This record gives sequence, structure tokens and C-alpha cells, in this order.
Amino acid sequence: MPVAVLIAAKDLHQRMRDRTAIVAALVIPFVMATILGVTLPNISNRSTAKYQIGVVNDDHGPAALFFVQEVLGSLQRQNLLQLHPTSMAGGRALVRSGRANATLVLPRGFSLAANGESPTHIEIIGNGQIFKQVGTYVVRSVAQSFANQLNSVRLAIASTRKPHASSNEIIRLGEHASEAPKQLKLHEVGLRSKELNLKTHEAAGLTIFFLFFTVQFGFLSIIEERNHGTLARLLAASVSRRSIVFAKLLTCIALGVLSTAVLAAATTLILGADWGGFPGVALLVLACVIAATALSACIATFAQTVQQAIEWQAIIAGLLGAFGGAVFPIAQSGGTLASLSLLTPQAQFLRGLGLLSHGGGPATVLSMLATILAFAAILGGVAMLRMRRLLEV
Amino acid sequence: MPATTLDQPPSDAESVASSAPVLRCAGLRKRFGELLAVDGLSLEVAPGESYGLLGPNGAGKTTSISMICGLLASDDGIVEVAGNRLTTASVAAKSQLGYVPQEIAIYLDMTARENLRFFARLYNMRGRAASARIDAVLELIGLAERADDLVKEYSGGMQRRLNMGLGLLHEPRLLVLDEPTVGVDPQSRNAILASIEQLGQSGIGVLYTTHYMEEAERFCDRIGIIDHGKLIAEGTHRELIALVGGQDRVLLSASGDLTRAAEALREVSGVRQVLQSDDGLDLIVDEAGRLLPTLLERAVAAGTSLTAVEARKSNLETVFLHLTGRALRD
Repeated sequence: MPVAVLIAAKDLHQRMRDRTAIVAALVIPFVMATILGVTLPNISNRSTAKYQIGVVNDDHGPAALFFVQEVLGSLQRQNLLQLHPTSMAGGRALVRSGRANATLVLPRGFSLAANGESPTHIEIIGNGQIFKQVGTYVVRSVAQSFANQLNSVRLAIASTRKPHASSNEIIRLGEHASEAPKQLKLHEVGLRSKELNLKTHEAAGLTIFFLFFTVQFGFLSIIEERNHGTLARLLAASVSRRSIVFAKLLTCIALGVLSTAVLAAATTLILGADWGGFPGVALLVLACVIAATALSACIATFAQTVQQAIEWQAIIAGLLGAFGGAVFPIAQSGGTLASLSLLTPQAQFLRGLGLLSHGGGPATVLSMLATILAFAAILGGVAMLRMRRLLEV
Repeated sequence: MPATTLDQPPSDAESVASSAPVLRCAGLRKRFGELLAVDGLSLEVAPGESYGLLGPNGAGKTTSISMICGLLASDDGIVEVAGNRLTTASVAAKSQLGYVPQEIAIYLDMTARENLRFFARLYNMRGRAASARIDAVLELIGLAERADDLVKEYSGGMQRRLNMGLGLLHEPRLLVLDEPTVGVDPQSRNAILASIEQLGQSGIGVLYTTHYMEEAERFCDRIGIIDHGKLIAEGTHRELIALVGGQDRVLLSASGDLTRAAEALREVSGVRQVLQSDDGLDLIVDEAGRLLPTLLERAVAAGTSLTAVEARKSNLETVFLHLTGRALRD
């Protein structure tokens, strides 16, 4: 057995004997995911792929009917939306009570305006709460796409010098000319693919959050071994420094993969989480384990004591986890914060899982893998440059 | 792997074959910034020989040991173990060397047997031979009955014994012990020292650092005295004592004008050295028995009040004092 494997096996043996490590790596994340799954039943039981949309049709003209029945209706038939025809007051109440993600209002005169050249608008009553904003975005996107289609058809008709086409003609021409439903559909699927259902989000988020704590035992043990004198004993026993580093790397990866695998299996079987296809998930997990390992190695090379390293790791892992949406889906809040959060491995991991859980293959998560591994390469590079200091006895 | 065991001395053939030094270091030098921690250390340890490296705290003993064991790269000089050149990356030389660090360097959350098995595998020991050797070491260090208990449940003395057992596990040609009795209770200390004496008899070369001269006097065949990173004297106990020419040491515990008393005592014929400390005077003299009445008379006349007087035959402490002008335990 190679020396590095032998040392890694010893480290894992010690970790398995340490109940604190098992609790931190497995029990706490599972319990937290379960608690969140239970305390957020209304959200977790609802698939975010199926948005509840109130529809207030004050127009009832052909353009409005087409939009409701064909465009929105098509999405409802695909189980993406659940439409709730209602009045203006009812629509507001639906959103306020949380029974609808958004309400879409087609004002009186919408079809006439669409038919002619006068401007019109579609009103969206959205919900500002973080878990429900996605619904607002979905509806806004659908409406925006429809408006774009109408505008493009208008332009096309104007270019054919047919200034008095009826709204039915506009719609037919529009369908024919620009294949409007397909474009709408594509746009909608793009939004849908970024979402994990909440159960899975909580399970995967907490798993990845705690992963950054679990793997730290690998490189922290170098500080422990240095302080206890066993590092000197290993070095005197003709074990090379390179073997020791490789052993700790193996320990981190084994701990990370093992804890993630156990949690993924447990949350799938017990909580009903849907992590997606195995090859893609495995790649994402491995990339995140490497990133977490690089972070812990980097921290270990700067820390003077184990306690200091644990504290730094807790602070950085906590910030990365929160910022990366491991606990709350920060990416859905939109804006600069959401964009910046994509720099974290946690956000990329969850984004990748979102694609995988909706049928994407490993190829769809390549950009996420690249970002996570870039994070690992930067921190791992710093760690390697400083590793000699860590291994001084 | 050498065939030498702890219980049996090497055969004549083995003795002849292994008559070359098991440790040879020449011109070892190590600097930490402005501090020259080890300055040209050269020494040899023969098979079966116990060599004590004696010096006060901070003299450079542990730095020397770290270079000899390949834990620390030297700035200059060479180390050879059983004829193999040793560097921080050596394999062959390190496999001939057993290291017992000053601190208890064992895995506390593993059993003694697990600790021994782990290091046996690191030394490429396998199968029944490894198991037999582990059992033998457990017997030797008196932990056979507690072999499967977690080490953290052991007493400090038991942990010390395991610490030493790990250094002996792979039957090294050279055992390096870095102050193995620091912080050890008298009973365990005696057990450790008895084991080391036994090792010397079994043919293993032993390099032993300490700042306890009694230990060095008790079982070291040769002693090197190190101070400020330099080996300032080397030889057998008798040879080192001869350096001070049979001189004796007189300790006067006193209060009062010690400076004046020291000046007065230096004028006495036969007084070689007078060292003043907070609680008295430390003298090296030619014949303590003959000079003692004169010394006491002069000290009292100089205005000191004596509380205790002690005359000692020359020992390593005297030698160190003679060579450096400082006490070994300063």
C-alpha cells in the first residue's frame, strides 16, 4: 500500500473514531435539512417549476384571449404554470396570501391597442418575498416575450404595407412569421432550468455548506501532527513531505465524497430530494470537494494553531455558504448580489444541480465545473506555495 | 532490516561487519537568521555505543538531532547513518534510524497496537514477522496487557514507554533519543534509562541528548558537551573529568557582600574559578578537603553569612563550569 494511502487510511480511521466529526459531517446537515423541510411545508411541497399565476382579463379581445389561452395556456399544459382566472381584487388577494406567485392583468383595450399602433401594457402584480420572486420573473418574461412578438409582427406587417390588418391576422402572421410560441417556450425553459425544488435546495445547500467544514480535518491534522510531534516521527520514518500532503489530500477527498454521498442518499430516500443524474452530480460533488479542500489547505498554511484554523475556516465557509445561497436561494434575489454569488463554489454547485435535476447531462454543467475548479486552483496554488511552512518541524 | 534484536547481542561476524560507525556527522552547521544554532558539529557513534550529547537548554542539542534525523536540512556538513548519507529526503539512511522525540509523539486516539502496526507498515514490515515484532516490542515496553486500550487512557509513563517503543520497532542500527526523560516521574525515568542501557548491550548505537548530567554519567560510554552550538569537549566520563585535573567543586550558600567575598576567595592559592550567583558562590578548587577551612574563614572575613557548605568531587557539571564559566543548568 503506498505510504500516502496508508496515512490517509490512518487519518480516516481516527476520524471515524471521532464522534464529533461524524456529527458535524453527517448528522447536523441531515437534521437541519429535515427541519427546514418540515418547517417550510408550503414551499417545499410545491414544485417551483409550476408557478401559480392569477390572470385578470379585463379585455377579452382576440389578442388577450390568444395570450391567455394559447401562450399562457400552452405553458399550463406543460405543467409550468397554473392559471387562476380572477378579478383585479382577487388577483391582488391571491398574491398577498401567497397562493399565487404573481397576477397578470390585461387591461381593457389591450387587443385594440395591439391591433392598432397605440401603446398598451400588461400589468404584473408580483410578490416581493424572496421565495416567490421567481414567479414574478417568469410571468414578466412571458409577457415581455409576447410583447416583443407583437412588436416584431407589427414591424413585419408594416414592412408588407398592410396597415389595416386585423388582430387575428396579426396573430396568424405572427405565428407563421416568427414561430412565436417556440421562442416563448425556449425562454421559459431557460428560467425553469435554474431552479431546484426547495426540498432539494435545502438538502443540497446544507450538504455543500457543511462540506466546507467536513473536509477541513484533512489539512488541519498536519498542524495537529506538528504540534503533537508525530509529524517529526513520520518525517524521520522516511515519509516524504510530498507523501504527507498527498495523504491529507486523499483524506479530505474521501471525507468530502463520503459525507456528501451519504447525505445525498439520505435526503433522496427520506426527504424526497431530487439531486439529478449521477454522473453530473458526481462531477459537481468532486469539484466542490476539491474546492473545499483547497480552501482548508490554504487556511492551514496561514494558521498558527488548530483552533485558529478552525475559526478561520468557520468564518470563511460560513460567508461563502451564505453568499453562495447554500442556506437561502440568494441567486433568485437577482441583481449584483446574485451575480457575485456565482463566484462561489456553492452557488455554482446549486446552479449545476438545478440543471441536472431537470434532465441536463454532465455537459450542461461544464461552465459550473470550470468556475468551481478555478476557485480550487487559485486557493490550492496559494496553499502549495506555502505548504513547506506548514510541514516544518 | 538489520537482524540485531534487543534480547541478543550481535554475533562476532555481525560485530565485525558493523564495526564502522552507525552515525557519523561532520561539520554540521545551521543558522536561523542571526543565530548560529549549530556550529560545525562533528561526532561519531559506534555500534553498541551510547553517546550522550550534554548541554544546557538552548545549546543546540535539538537542532543537531533534527539534522541528524533528517527533519531539518543543514546549511553545511554531512550525516551518515550506517554508511548511508542522510538528507531530509533519504530513505535508506532513515530506515536504519529510530527516533524518539522529546514530546510524546504518538496517536492518542489509537491503541498501542494500532500505533505500532501503523509505523510497522510505514517501515515496510508485513505479515507475521510484523505481528511478532509488535508483540515483542509491547513486551519490551511492558504494555502487552494494555496493547488494545486507547493510548489516551494510559498514564504519562506508559505513553512515554510507547513513545520509545515506536523508535525501536523496526530494529534500527541507531536510536536517537531527544531528552526522553523530561517531565517523567522517577519510576518511569528509571525504566527508560534501564531500557537504554539494555539497548547499548544489544549492539544498537544510541545517541542521547540530555541536560541531566546524572543520566549521561550513568550509562553513556562517551559524552559530548555542547554549548552555543559547538561541541566544546568530548570523551569518556573519565576523560572529561580529567580535563579539570581532579579538581573539586565547593558550593557556598551565603548572603552579604558576595562580590567582596568572591574577590577574596580568588586570591587563595588552589582556587581555580569562582562563580557568583544570587544565593552564593560556586568554586572550583584543587583539593576541597585541604582548602575548605581557609575558604570558610576568608568568606566570613569578607562579610558574608554562610548558611550551607557543600564540597563535591569533580563531575560533568564541574567540567561544564570549567569549560564555559557557566553552570550546566543555567
